Parts: sequence; C-alpha cells; structure tokens
Amino acid sequence: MSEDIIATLKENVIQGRKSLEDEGIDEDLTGTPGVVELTQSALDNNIPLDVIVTQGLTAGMEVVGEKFATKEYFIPDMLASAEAVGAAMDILKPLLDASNVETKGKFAIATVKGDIHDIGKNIVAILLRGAGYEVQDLGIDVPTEKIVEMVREEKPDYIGLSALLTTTMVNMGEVIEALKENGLRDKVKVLIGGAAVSDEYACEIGADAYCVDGFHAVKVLDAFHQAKA
Amino acid sequence: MVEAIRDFEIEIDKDEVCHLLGYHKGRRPKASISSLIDEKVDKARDLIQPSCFYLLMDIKEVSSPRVILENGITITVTSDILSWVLAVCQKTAIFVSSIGYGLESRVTQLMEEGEVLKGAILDAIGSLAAETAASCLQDKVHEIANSVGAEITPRYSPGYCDWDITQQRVLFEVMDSSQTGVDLSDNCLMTPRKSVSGLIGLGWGEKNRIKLTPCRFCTKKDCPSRR
Repeated sequence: MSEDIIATLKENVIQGRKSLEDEGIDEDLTGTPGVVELTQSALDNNIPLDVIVTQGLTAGMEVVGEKFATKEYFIPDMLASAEAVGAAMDILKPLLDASNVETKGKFAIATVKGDIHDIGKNIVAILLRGAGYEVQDLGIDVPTEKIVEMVREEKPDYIGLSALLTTTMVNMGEVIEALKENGLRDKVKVLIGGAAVSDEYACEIGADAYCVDGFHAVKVLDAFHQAKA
Repeated sequence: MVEAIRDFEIEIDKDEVCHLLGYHKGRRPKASISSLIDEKVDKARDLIQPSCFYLLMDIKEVSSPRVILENGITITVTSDILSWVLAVCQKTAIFVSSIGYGLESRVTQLMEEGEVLKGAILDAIGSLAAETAASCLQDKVHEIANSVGAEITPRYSPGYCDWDITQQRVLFEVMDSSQTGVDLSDNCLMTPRKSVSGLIGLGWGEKNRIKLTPCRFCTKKDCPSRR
C-alpha cells in the first residue's frame, strides 16, 4: 500500500499533476488524485516524511530532469512538475520543520542590485525546492548589504545570484567582495546565473560555480551537498 | 518631431510563443500545456497596451565606430557590421516601443501566487508581444522609406550585435520618457520591462548592404535573437 502511494506520487510528479483537476502531461488523468492528494494520503498512511520527499517527490523530479536533458520535456513541462512538488512541500514544511528530517541545505537566491529580471530566478528557486533544498527567495534588485546581512543572520549553505545584463552582473562581484570584507565568504557557496554570465565570469569574480539553468543548479548543489556529507 | 503609433492590435503567434518556451525543431507542447498556452494568449490580449515612438533623423557622418546624427547627437556603434551598414544610410529612425505594465504586473502576481508555469508562459507571450510591437513600428518605417524610394535596415538594439547596452542612454536622450512612458534606469534597464529601443537605418543606395542580416557574421550561434 505504502509503496503504491509513493510510486503513484512519483508518477504524478513526472506527469506534472498538482491536483485531481489537472490533466497530466502524457495522458488525461483528470479526476484521479494528484500530488497534493497523494501527499496527504501518504501522511494519512504514516509513511515517513523522508520517504515521501526522497522516494516520491525528489525521485520524480530526477526523472523530470532526465526527460528535460533528453528534450522529451520542455520548460513548461518541468515547471508543471516543479509546481506540483512545491504544493506538496507547502503541506510537508510544517511537519519537516518540527521533525529531525534534514533538508539538503538552505539556499537563498536574489536578483542583484539594479536588476529586476526574475523569471529565471523563480524557475531556479522552484526547481531547487523540488530537489529537496530549503529555498529563500530574497527578490529582485536586492542591495548587496541585504544579501550580506542575510548570510550573517540566516546562515544559508548556498546563495544564488542572478543578473541578466552586463551592466548589472558586476554587482555579483560586489556581493562576493562584501562577503569577504565581512568575513563570510567561506561560510557560503556562491552560485551565479543569467544570460550575460559564464564560467569565465564566475572564475573572474571568485564565485564557486556558474549554472546554465535550473537543473544544472540542482546538479551543482547536489555535488556540493555530497562533498559535504 | 517624435511620432507616436498607438491603438493598434498585436497578433500573438502561438508557434512563436512555443519557440520562446523552448519547443524548437518542430517539437510541440503536449495537450495540457498547449491548452494553457491558448488560454494565456487569449487572456494576454486584455493586458497588452502597445505603443511605439520614433524620430527620423539625418545621418551627418559615419566615422566608425561613431555615427553622428543631426544636432550633433553621436552614437557609438561598437559593431563593425552596424557602422558598415549605417555608412550607406542617409537617415535613421530612433525608436522606443512597449506593451505597457499590464502584462508584467499580472506575471508578477502569478509568480507571487506560486503559479510559475502560468507566469512563465505569460512572460514569453509578453516578450513576443514586445517584439511584435517593434515589428509594427518597423513596418511603419518601411512604409515611409518605400514612399520615397528608400530601403530600411533590420532593427538594431543596444545590447545586441556588439552594440554596447549603455548606448541606450543616447537613444533615451532623444526619446523623452514623459512622452513614451518608457524609463531607463542607471543600469540601462527599461521599464516597462517588455520594451524595445533601437534604431533602423534608411538609405537610397546599396540596397543589399542596407538589408543585410548581420547575424550571418556573428559568432554567437546560440543567440536567442538570431535572425
């Protein structure tokens, strides 16, 4: 019974079905339980939280990532899946907070000062959440001081900086310098992303990684997470 | 004098929306996503408020990389191709076009509600609508050029074709924000976000050179704006 629920949960993540009203990506499953209903069902059947998250939600998103990599899935498909996982995490978060189940780490994300682009940032945030990270979105046009303060107070394991333009990407370097000046650089891994940046730019400003898209960010963070464990 | 084009219809091509969402090379969205795109295209019609503004100016001198316009306005064109093309143009239309704040406000609202999929689809529709509004402006400039036997260049925007994005400041010196409703930040970011600024050249000679698509000379093969 428990195995069935988790397998169906995983399948519904892959189908991008948040609730029973949703159709599904490959076939019309309208009327059958979606991720929200199945998550509740898993809790009602006393399935451990870590099993729901890792074997149901995260395992489903891993398949979605593979389908995206092979171009079977496209951006909207993976967003449908990630949104479904996000809705499940809304149900699970209070229980996870009260339990001793560890998340894969805390990730804060911000569009740097002077830039107001947020679509890419939001996609990265929702994918990392789906991959089991605790995500805090600081928003757009975030002042460097606010990011430094957040790192000092909230102690995230990772921080993602986003910028679209060559005129604003320089503020990513400013954040890294400010983290150094405040003795915080070695406390947090810094990832950068956005149309104007590159691996070379990440090296130039001393970031820990450049991520080309959301699934790449998941891979990079998972590698950091495994290296820590 | 800055001319305005308002109250025109923007037709959204669903295939183009799909392309912006990553469906390339004949790939199509699956049924549920396809219906959602249809729904958002329909809703976007009420959210798009297109407007275009342009100013026709004489080109006085092209001394690569500088292009000097009438009244001493100087544009620095860091793209060799663009300055080469403008060297055979006699006039340029400096323009700003936008679809207003309606659609982007709705995208922000959807994102805040956790509806990232709907938000991303609507955002892609907005990007396409902004380009379509700029194309309407281009059609108008083409009409003007044709009426006097001239040809037009493709449209060029700062930030593309090695034309430095900070050159938008020069364009915005000419295009009054209080008239266009489009502002430029210190970082050269336009608001509303779904706006396009740039220039189009007009000329009477060497039509093949004027109409040249610059992308064939560009090494950035993965550019999403490749023509």
